[in-house]
Amino acid sequence: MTTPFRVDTGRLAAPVTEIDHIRGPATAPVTLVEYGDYQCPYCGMAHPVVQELLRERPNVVRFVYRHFPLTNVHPFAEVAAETAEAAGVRERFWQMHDWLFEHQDQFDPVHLAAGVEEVGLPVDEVVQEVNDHIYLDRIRRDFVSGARSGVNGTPTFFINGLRHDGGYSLPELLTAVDQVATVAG
Amino acid sequence: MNHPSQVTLTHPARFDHRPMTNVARSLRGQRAPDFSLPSATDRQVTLSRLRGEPVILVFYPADWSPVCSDQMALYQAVLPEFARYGATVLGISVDGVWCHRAFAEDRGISFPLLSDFEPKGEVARAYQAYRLPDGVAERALFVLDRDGYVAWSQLYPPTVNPGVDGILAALHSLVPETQVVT
Repeated sequence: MTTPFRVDTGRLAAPVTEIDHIRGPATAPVTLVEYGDYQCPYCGMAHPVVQELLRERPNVVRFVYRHFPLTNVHPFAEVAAETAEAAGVRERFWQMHDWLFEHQDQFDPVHLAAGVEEVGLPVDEVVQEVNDHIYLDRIRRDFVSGARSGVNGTPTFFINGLRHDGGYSLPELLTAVDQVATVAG
Repeated sequence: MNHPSQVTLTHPARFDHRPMTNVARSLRGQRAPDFSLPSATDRQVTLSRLRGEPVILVFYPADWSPVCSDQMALYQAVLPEFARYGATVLGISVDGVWCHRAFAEDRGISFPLLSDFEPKGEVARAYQAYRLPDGVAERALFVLDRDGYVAWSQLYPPTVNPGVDGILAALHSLVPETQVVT
């Protein structure tokens, strides 16, 4: 017989480290982590909100993006994530990230290649790396850390390690972030 | 896909926030009731035949409902992780086999969806996971150890997607035990 145990649900299981994709100052009192899927329309809606949040709270928030592709419902999500990673090793992660969320209906190979070029990356190299799935382990690691943290869909946000179960409109995120900043500060 | 506002808008009104009968948890440590249910018109899944590896039972209210769809899509994506523990996942609802088939095809679900259709909800009742008067399975999770005992179980409100962290933690807790036994 196994003893029952407590499930510590909704806590970030993998702390933010330097291998994460981080936007914003390291000294920011609030860390906002998003588990997202580039093909998920709700993540697409959340994207400009997060950008605005970072504009309005430049010294308060640093933003971390982790991959959570649900490939059975979003067949292009993994390719998109791999493309972002290929951009990441060339110091262009956020440019590619923004392009992907701004062109969610253009993930077919031709348009995606155009996007890679627009971001200023070597198309042939990136396509080769994506086809060889050399970034898949990292994406999988993100995914598993999300599953273990209680991510139940995308986008899921964590604010200083605690899952944000409220909405993700700008006012809601601002309120949540400011509350945590007050406590943390 | 997390779309809380849409879920509350479109979810059938009967899936309300009434308190749940949280007796599913009382099955922890008990032998899991055996059952045999169809996963297709010509295929039956019998629980006791799955001894030797952990089994995850996922009771859910209805194919196609927004929360169930998200939950099942998530479990499909997490299958490789479940496989690391050698665990089998079985979805169970009162929907018929043809409904399951259409749902599985539409959402790319490859694990078995069992039809607790006739007598309706009999297996859900055996697991104290039948919701009256709605006549659907509760949203309830059971992790069975390799000997067929309930290692962990949890009931959730119909409107909440439980995620997988509870299941993964339960599977993880079974690993040392497994090593000791072998």
